[in-house]
Amino acid sequence: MRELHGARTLNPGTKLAAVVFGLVAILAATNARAFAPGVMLLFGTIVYVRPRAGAVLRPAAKIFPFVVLFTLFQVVFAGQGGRVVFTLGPVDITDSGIVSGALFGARVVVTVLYISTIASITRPEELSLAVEVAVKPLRRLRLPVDGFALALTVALQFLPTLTAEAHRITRAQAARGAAYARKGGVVARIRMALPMVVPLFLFTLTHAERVAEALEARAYRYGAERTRLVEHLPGLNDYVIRGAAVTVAVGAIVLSIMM
Amino acid sequence: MDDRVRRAVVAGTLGALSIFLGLTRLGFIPWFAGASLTIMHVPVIIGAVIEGPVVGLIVGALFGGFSLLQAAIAPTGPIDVFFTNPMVSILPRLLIGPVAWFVFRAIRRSNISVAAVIAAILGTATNTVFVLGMLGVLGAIPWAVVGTVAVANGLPEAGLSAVITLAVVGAWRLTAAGKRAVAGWASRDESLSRDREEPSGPSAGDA
Repeated sequence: MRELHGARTLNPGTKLAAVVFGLVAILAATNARAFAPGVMLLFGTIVYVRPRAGAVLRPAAKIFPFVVLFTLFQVVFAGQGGRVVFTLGPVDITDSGIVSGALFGARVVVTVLYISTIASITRPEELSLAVEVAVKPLRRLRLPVDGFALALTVALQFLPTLTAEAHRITRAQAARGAAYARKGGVVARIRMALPMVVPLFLFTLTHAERVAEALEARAYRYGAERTRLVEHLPGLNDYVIRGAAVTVAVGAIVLSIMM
Repeated sequence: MDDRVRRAVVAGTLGALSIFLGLTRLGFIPWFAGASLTIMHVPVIIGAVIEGPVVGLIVGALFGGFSLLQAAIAPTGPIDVFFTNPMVSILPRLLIGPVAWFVFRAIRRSNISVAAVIAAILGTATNTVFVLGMLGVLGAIPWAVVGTVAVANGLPEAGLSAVITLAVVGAWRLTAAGKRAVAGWASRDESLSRDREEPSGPSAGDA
């Protein structure tokens, strides 16, 4: 087994903050210089996390051909009004087209690499812990953050139950003579999907009632402070990384506005 | 029961269902030319219709967050290139629930089934229009293609969503929770109209 690297034990809230502010930095950049902080953040993250190459490169490799395709598309179609650099048959390639195409392609590649890097050190359960950390400051904005945190926790717990129920429904409908052939036109496919999907929805809604009752029976109080068996107290690392992510986001926004 | 707990749990389970429909590809029905009709947004509409706009908002956020993560970690097709942008994958999905709820709220007094169908159609339209509109605004695809996809994919998706929403809401009304909720709507709508008819009238009788 791989040794437990420091990045894995980062506070979940730190990982969420890194993703949110990192995405802000990547999206806010409207020119090449404003894009630099986001790229620096990506390289810093990769050096710090040291992810397995496959975890990061596999999704990037899958999406790369399409990125190239749409980047060329941008170069050709988004370049009206720019200075013509060269002409390729009937299309003029302009400098503004090349810049907007390059920015588009770079944005997608950086986003994919960045999110997969952080995802490689994050377990799904950490997501709900992270949102609980983020709840406190966001409560003041009067957003339904407590509800969102509970919903996310329930959603992650509920996925295995749904899988089991889906199998049960498939077998039940097969026992009633349903044929799940993967053939036929759209109407045939819809008629196959409905006896599967509608019971799943009803199971979901009735199961939700039971979960809510079970929570209440165990004295769950909405928005109350809770203690945890395993505390994830943020350390020095966490504050440094959160600060760096915020700085990068602000830097990208400032550079975009200034130029 | 604390309504806030129940609403959050309903939002969570419906969000999980949307994610499940995406993970298993059960929520995609192959259409022509490699495109698929999706019903991943139907949990958002159903959550909004039966539990209100905040539930719709939360289910929409879970659905949108999942499409962003899936596009970045496990991309499946060319369109995932654009879904790595949260302005495309998350923002439009937050609007589905509130739109579906406002529509349903406006019509439910005359006929709940009709209200559910129209809410499903307009909720789906919100998804189609804002996702494609965002792609158009960002210059990702030309406006002519946006229009074609909106019609070729959006219309059948709206019809399919309406069928599922109608079936689910219709069956849910027969469950204990559904009966309670519908009775609650009826009394609320009635007191609302009574207040409107006689603004200063004595309503202490039912207190």
